[in-house]
Amino acid sequence: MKQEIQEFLAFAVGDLPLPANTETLSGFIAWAQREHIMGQVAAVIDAEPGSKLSDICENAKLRSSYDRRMLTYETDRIKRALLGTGVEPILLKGSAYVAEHLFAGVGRRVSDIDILVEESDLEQVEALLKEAGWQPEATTENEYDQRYYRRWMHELPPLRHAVRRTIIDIHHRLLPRTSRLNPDHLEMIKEARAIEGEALRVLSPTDRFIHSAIHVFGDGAMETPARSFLELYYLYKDLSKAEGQALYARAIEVRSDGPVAAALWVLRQYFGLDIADEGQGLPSLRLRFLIRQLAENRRYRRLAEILLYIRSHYMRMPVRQLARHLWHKAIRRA
Amino acid sequence: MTVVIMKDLPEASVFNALSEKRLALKLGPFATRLNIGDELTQRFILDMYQEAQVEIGNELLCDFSMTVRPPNLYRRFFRKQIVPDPGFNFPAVPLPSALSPLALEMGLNLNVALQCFRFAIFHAGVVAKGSEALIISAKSGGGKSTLTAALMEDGFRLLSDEFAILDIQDATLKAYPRPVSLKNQAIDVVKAFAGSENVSATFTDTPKGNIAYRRIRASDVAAAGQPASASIILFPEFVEGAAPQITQIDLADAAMQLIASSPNYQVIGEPAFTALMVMLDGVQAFEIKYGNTEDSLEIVHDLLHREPS
Amino acid sequence: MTAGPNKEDWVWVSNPDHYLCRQVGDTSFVYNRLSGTTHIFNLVSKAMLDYLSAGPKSLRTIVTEFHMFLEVPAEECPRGVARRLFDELDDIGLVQRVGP
Repeated sequence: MKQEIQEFLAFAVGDLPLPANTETLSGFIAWAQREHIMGQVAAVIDAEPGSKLSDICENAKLRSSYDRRMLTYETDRIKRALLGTGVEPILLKGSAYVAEHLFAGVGRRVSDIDILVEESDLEQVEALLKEAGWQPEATTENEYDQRYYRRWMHELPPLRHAVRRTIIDIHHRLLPRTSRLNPDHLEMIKEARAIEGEALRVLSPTDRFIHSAIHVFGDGAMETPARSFLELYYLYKDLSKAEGQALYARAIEVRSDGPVAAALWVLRQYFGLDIADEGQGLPSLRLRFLIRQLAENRRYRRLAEILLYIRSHYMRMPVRQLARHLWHKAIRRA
Repeated sequence: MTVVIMKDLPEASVFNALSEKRLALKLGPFATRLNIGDELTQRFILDMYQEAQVEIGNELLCDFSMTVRPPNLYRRFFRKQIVPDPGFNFPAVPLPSALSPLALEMGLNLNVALQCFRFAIFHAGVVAKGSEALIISAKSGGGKSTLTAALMEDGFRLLSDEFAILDIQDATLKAYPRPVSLKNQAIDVVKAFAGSENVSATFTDTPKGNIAYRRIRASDVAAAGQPASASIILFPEFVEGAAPQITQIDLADAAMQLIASSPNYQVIGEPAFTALMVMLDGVQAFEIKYGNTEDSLEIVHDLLHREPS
Repeated sequence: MTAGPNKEDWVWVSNPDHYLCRQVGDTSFVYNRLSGTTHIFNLVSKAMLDYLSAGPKSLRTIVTEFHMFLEVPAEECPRGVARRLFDELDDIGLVQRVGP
């Protein structure tokens, strides 16, 4: 099964030509559709014009062109809302990949926009975005959630645009205050750079990879493992040789060595990348088990999903507080 | 395996292929991999889709997949229920298993509405004579499906009773001639002119009242590859006992209503805009009101023979 | 709700490459390439778009001189109306600030 997934990922990034065996091809495409990576696959493979494969790719390209347009336009609107204030938000994740024309952003499915701003600018940014039509989501507008987010989380309660219905997450840290993992976002902000000609910034290439690893392995973005793995793969490929060599040291510096070790293990394990061990070693047996179950769609996938759900909460807050939080959520639903 | 007409296959092989997700329904521009273990739905497919093209095999490449399954293990045995599962986490409402064919039909509609981006989709019925197509816009209670079914018996070919499928390359309309869904009184009306042997058993107590389906026709399947261009957009309104009435409406208004009915226009973006604008060239739009099927057919005849204004 | 802050001396322009326009009867269908949205414009909104596409202007100029572009007396297109037409274009992302 590991072999099949390695092969599928190699087709997906164009490392291997598509299989001549139509049964394997059909299995691969069904997998790519299920894993929501058909847009990325369509960007790298050549389908014979007029074939069903080309229909499927064409369909996926049109779908992902929407995500790309949406991200670019929403970024433009954020810039407009902050025009003249001198605040330069840092684009995170998909909006950064698209703004920087990275391969990691091509064909990638996204749902919301993430930006990072200095805590001192938070109030002004929130006020201006609200002025420009972004409003608190109905589900988190209640007092408990508002208080909860502001006190414990790494982002403001999500805002949804009244007309366009797009969601924006305004971060002031990379993980919740309560999280076991405590990445040094201030150090990463220090290394952030301006996008040429725009009042916007992005993380450095190294920190971009580190943040993606934090998101995948520290924040529970493992529901679509293939999508996460492709992202890590492309971001890693975008690092220069020197950046690649300095990556793990930087990860230690910004207190994110755990997730980065897991990400590098995945890249070696599933893409066969030749990454020297800079002391990162292997992720825990438990984490490797979870990743394998999910990525290879093994027998315990469902169990792994549940464990990961618990783990993502566990990573985010101490047990006593977790119990209180889940209790509150449960009561409110009842 | 090659593409064949379903009725030419032994029943048993269709049943097996449906249960083992090895059957692709190939209708119009779409190939759909079906995964159907439920016997009632299997029989429905064998009957209503008998004229459709299918392909059986393990090596199918499909636009969509559709599974009809119980919502959970418990519902497989107790107060049996069924949901359509189009392959992504769509929150479909479970139906009692006696209505499972509805779950299939709803699911196939979801596939087109939510997973198709190669074509601009508008919520409307489409029929054509020669290459001239008539778009019948959907309005609840407007009688879209009854009018569509009536026109099928009146020398028109069916493109679809649910979707206007606009080719974004050449602005022609594509055919996807699935069974026509009939509600309540429309069932007897259509049985009267199409013959009751062409209409499925009636499903009672559905969320939308009584529902039956008109079987797909060999002629529509055979003609599905022929392009048709929009010539008239109709907004029908059925009013019991009303005198027939035709009102030409502003094409811009008609276009806005079509855009509002589309699940994917915004997603496709520029190609959908450009194709829609080309499609509208030379098209006229009308609101029509009628009290019975004969009147509605007469109105359509009048409109088709009217000189362009 | 506004798209964002604005000042009298800020200079704005519309870029014709950012949109497509098709006439259907008296109505203009404007497709915004940046947002992917189709907008329905009446004659006056369309005129504002043409006015801003013709070249950069300060917000002050836009509200005081738009009536001349329409070739109507100032009373028939008061500043408030011009400002509202501009804000509508700003809201849907069809104008860009190019200075100062």
